[in-house]
Amino acid sequence: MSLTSNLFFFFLAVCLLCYYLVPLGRRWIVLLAASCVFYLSFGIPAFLCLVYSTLVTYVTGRVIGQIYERYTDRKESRKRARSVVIIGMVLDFAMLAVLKYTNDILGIFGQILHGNYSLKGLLLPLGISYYTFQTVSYILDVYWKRTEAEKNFLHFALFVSFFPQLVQGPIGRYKTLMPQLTEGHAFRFRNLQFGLMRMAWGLFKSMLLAGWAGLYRRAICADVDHFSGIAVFIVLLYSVELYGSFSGGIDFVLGIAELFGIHLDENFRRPYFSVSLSDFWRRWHITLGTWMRDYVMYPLTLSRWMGKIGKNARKRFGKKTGLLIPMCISSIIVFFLVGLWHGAAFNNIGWGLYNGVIIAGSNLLADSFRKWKTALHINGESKLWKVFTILRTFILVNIGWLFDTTKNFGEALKVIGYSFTRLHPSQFLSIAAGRLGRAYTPTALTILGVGVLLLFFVSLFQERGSCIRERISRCPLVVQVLIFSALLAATALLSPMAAERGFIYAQY
Amino acid sequence: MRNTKIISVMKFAGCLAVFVAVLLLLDLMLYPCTYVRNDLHALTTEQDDVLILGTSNSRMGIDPDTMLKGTGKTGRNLANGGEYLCDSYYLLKLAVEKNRPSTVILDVDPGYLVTEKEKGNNYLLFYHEFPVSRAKFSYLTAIMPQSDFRALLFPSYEYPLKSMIGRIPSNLRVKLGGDYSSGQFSTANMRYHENGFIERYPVSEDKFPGWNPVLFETDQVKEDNIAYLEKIIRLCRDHDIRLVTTTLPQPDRSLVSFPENYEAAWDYLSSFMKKNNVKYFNFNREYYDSFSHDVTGFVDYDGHMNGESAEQFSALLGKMLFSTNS
Repeated sequence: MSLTSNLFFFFLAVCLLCYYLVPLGRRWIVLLAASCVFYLSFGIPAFLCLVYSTLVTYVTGRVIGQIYERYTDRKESRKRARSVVIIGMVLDFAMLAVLKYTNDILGIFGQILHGNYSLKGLLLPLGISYYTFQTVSYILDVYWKRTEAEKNFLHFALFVSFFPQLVQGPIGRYKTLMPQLTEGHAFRFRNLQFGLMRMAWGLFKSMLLAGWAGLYRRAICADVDHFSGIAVFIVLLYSVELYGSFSGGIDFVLGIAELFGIHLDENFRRPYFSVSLSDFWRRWHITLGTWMRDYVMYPLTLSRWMGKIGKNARKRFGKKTGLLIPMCISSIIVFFLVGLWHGAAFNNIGWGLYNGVIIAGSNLLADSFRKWKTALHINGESKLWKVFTILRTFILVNIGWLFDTTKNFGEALKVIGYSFTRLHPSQFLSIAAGRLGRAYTPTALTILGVGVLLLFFVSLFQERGSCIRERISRCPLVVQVLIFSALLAATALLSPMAAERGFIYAQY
Repeated sequence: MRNTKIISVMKFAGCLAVFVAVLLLLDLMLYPCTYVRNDLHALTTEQDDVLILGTSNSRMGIDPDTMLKGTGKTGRNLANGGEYLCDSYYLLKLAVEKNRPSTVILDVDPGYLVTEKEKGNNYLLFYHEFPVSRAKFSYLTAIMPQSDFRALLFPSYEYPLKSMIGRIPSNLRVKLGGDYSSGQFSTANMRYHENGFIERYPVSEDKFPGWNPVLFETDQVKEDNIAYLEKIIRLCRDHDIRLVTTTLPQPDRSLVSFPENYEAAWDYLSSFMKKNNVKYFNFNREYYDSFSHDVTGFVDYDGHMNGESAEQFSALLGKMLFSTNS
């Protein structure tokens, strides 16, 4: 069931109707039933994978809970619980590893051995990375006593399978999500108002902005040598496409949840306004970033062996640098995992390491940077400096993505070369017209340009703390409906016709 | 508390009404008046004895008037490029509901058996023009759910907005005035006839467009397409409608390019029709010699006939199907 199909909208309407018609205390049952129906629409094998993950995690949580109840000795209970945690996590990750990475790894072997290896027919259940990370976070939260183990299996099943977030996140946390799912929310017009508006904005970003940007990017990528004058736009278009598709998809999902009165975690906070790469990762795919921070980075940095590394580093490089080294190693490991989460291909892992190394390097050189700034009399609070840091970060992010969007390393270098030597933006108008002559026309370029400007100004308002939806909600109701209709109509009538790619991040 | 709830629901209903009004207005202004609009208007307001369903090959290959000349019957060509068997089925359902025909000629293009209906224009081209009816409701529930939300809410999304804006005055005039004249559908390359037949003007072979055929392979046949073919057969039987299936002549040059695929298609269709006891006229094998396959009779390698060739073919088909001996 595609999220933009009529069937999904009909399904959503039926779910909403049922949700608000049943008594408050039983509304979670509607959500659970809807989630099961939704996931079953992707096939029984995919559904069974979800059931497997739910069962494994539920049982693991329960066993850990029972160990903590039975053994009063902290050390003893921790020791016993640890082995259960390991088993639970291995069982959860094993499914993810087998289903998601087998073909990636075979692909790597294929590249090395110049062959073509893949397991045909290997199932890749939709959203498997998202729900696996969600279940693992629950196991660790129970183990670290951040939360109690859930006793009601059906409640727990809803936490894992809540349908809006199942496809492309955000990666929810048990402590914040579970109470919202089970408490039952009364019908409020404001929820509908805000939810629908957010869904429409998400579709606008994903279908119109990402649609056009992707169309142009693919056209240029198909013949980089011919379009060398606009090669620099490959990565700029990719940044619009990726952000539009992923954040648009998340807006859509958050909007759906809001219709039910449920507020999922934000996954984006204007990432292109970041002043450093670390800042970028606090604003981009936030729930993955915080997951990595809480469940990998902190435990790793505070681990015994990292402590030993820190001790040695302090002896060799001094106290300050010695303290930073464990953090830098953790950063590199975390970003290696972030890359791996996106897929086991070289470009994903390389991209992850690129981010990790820059962040680790910035941490190590932070003192030197400060000294240079003082020596050059740079006012770190000035607007100009802020704009510079934003641009610097944007360029760093884009360089990382360039290696993801081009066919290979050589082509990425070629694009960089063309960007400095052959800039001819007028080449945009020389791309052959697409179907019905609508693609690659000046009108299409104008639509894309205006759309990007609109996104920029909306982001700017939001960055300054203004809530656009709040402002719109103060307008007369008819005006609100007209704004909503205009947004939706613009999405439908001005986006490329063949935008059938769906949401990019729904494949993870 | 209860009042707040009622006010919320009323507010929502009000918003919904405004939203629907906006959608209807956009549709009225922007959705173009296509010949499918005329076809379906005629289908539901006039009584025709013979209906032609199928793809663009039969739209351009069968002139109902020529085919039925001297029989006293009337016919309508409802075939269309991108008309899959599911569309043919719902068109036939609509016809049965409104004015039941006595004969249906269904042209089966093997390429349409091995591909899925495109998401996009073809979803709305037919559905959009259906009048309120049981057939429209069945179409909505069976086919439309799979399509993009835009196909239902903003059916004009597949047409370039720039040109649609220019057509707003004429769209309003034609739609609000109930104008079903067909002059506007004729272009420099073709002439649209009131009976649905499209007459293509001859094209020399050097001006044929590029050819990228969908090749038939038996194991690629989509179950859904076959299910709708079976539904059409059943619907005709249930309503005592004579069903004749055909595959129109293809240019020789096309047939020799992919002989194995064509042979597989003819084998598949012949055995399917035989199994279902349906008369099948394949003009590329069993009835190969009855009509010329020379490329000069076509406007492309896809098998679209030019007007002259189509008139000859229609006369032949009429003789085969409606002469007293047939």
